[in-house]
Amino acid sequence: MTARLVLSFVLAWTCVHFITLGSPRWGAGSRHDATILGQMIAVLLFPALFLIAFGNWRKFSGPIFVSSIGIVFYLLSLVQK
Amino acid sequence: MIPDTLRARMGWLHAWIGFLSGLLLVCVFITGTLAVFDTELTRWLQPEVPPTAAELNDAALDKMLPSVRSLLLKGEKPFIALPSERDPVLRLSYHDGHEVLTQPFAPQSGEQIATRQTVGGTFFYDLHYTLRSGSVGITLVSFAGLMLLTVLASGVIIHLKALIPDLLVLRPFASRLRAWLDVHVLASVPFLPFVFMMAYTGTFLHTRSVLPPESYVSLAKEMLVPSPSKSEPASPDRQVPQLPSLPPLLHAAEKTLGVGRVGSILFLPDTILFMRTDASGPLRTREHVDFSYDSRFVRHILLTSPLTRAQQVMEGIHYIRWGGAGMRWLYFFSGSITTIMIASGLILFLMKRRKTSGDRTLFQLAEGLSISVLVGLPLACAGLLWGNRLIPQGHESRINAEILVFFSIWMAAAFFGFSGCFIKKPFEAWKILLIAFSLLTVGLGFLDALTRPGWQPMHAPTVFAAVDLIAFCMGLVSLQIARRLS
Amino acid sequence: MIFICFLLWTVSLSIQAASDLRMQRISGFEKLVLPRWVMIFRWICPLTGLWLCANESLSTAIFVWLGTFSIAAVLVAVGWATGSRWKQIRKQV
Repeated sequence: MTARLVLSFVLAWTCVHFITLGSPRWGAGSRHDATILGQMIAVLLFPALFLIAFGNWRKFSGPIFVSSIGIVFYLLSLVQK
Repeated sequence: MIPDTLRARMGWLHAWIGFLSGLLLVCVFITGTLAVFDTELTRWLQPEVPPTAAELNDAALDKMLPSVRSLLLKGEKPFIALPSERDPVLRLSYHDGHEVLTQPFAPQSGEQIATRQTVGGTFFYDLHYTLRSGSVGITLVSFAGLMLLTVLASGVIIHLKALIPDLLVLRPFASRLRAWLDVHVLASVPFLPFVFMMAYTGTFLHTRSVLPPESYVSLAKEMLVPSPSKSEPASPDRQVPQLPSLPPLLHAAEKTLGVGRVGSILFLPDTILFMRTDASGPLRTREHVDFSYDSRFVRHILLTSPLTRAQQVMEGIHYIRWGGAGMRWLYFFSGSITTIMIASGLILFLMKRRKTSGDRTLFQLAEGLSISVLVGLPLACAGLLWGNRLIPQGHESRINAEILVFFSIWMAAAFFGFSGCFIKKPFEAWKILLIAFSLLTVGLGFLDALTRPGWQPMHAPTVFAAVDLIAFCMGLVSLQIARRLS
Repeated sequence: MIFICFLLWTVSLSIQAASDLRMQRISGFEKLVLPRWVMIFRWICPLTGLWLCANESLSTAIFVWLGTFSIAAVLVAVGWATGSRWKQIRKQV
């Protein structure tokens, strides 16, 4: 259980970190506004992603789902505005 | 062996994350609940300030200027808080790097009101979001906020089927575990909107501290490179320009912000800021009109983009400085019951493991920590109120003495709690500390009567009566819990 | 307004508790039968409360409405538990 917990936490945290990291690039408006938007989404998504990663362990569906979202946001953070 | 179902997994996560973050969250919620009435607590802690005062006189503002000037000469950034519904006097305040120090002035004459120095209600506010540890504390509290959101969501998943049917179920005379579980559910389910709202808005306020918009690698690099100190060293030959008359500037600012909407006047080294009061609406805009020291209009700052507005609404909802006394009472009661939710969660965690792990050192440590935060912190808060009234008014460094009283009581309670757990007498430790808390809170009204100048047995409801009465009720509840402990 | 809204929620939740079979069983008020027309107040009271709150101040309406619901729920639960305890004691006597 503890290993699952740590892995789920790391995945969810990495995912929301990419959201706040990339939001100034893909978010609307000024850098300040885009950062706020990213933070709003990150705080809202973190519990959901953490619980999805931790709760759905059959065939690693939860961790795979959260990783995919993390990759999407990582790619978005590479976008040049 | 725990069955590997979604509910069981969520139960495990709810229990462990809930307990570990709950120890910190109890402190955050107790101090946050008290901070709802920070201004009123400051008034209780300065009983020499009259409960009512005449309306603000323009001339009074100018009479405060020498005091403002002396603070500017010391390199401080003082601000004048104008009289409001919550606090009828003028207050000159500044942050000395540790505390917000405040001095009241009569709004009619502008004369300084002789009163005791106190750490004030802002002490609880500071403890609530920084744990008095600056940015490290803010990071910890924000992280705990994220954990709270996770624990809440997992709790909803565990309890989803019985969420509505169990809404009103309370069986205090059933088995002890069942009774505490009912208390936990009753203190959680009806308050879910409140807790989600406070956890989300509170975490969002300082998200930057845990989820910065730059990579942790670059942040770590920045931390390793020493940055030049930002604070200006205090120089004895500091030049402060002549301060302008404030009333004309106030009225000019009111033309932009609205009459009665200026809450405070902040003095910076080169400008004077007239800030909109947070009480004027749900948006915490931090709007201000700035003037130079030669009375020239400099600028009007108001951020209006939709996302900034959303942020201002969230801050407004969290601080609830605009909703009036009724809303503050709602927040106070909701905060108190949310504290009970977390406290009952901690107690349930210990109860479920006492039989199997009661002899383990880790369990004793966990129970010691629970005693320290659940009874030790409230005891320290009550002790601060006692200390405020018992430390002589002219005591040198009175503020430090109050803080010392608070932390000494907390440390002593923690030491007592840990000792009780390690010598395997935890119930005695709970009981004695609960009784000590009852004595301090029930006796607070008597202390107030003995030490407040101008005390009358029958007076209009004031902050004094409210604080004494709430403390008295808390004392009775605590006594009842101590009585039922076995 | 907060007090009126709180009262309305208390009435509504009390009717809900009195009409719920599980709550009746827990408290021992098994023979309690409410007239049908009373049931409608379960919905009328909260809606009236919301309307009153919105009428007074739109910005605080939802906060007051939800906040008073939470506190009323605790009060009704405590009242219901006290009532059932009182009934038990009377039975024993």
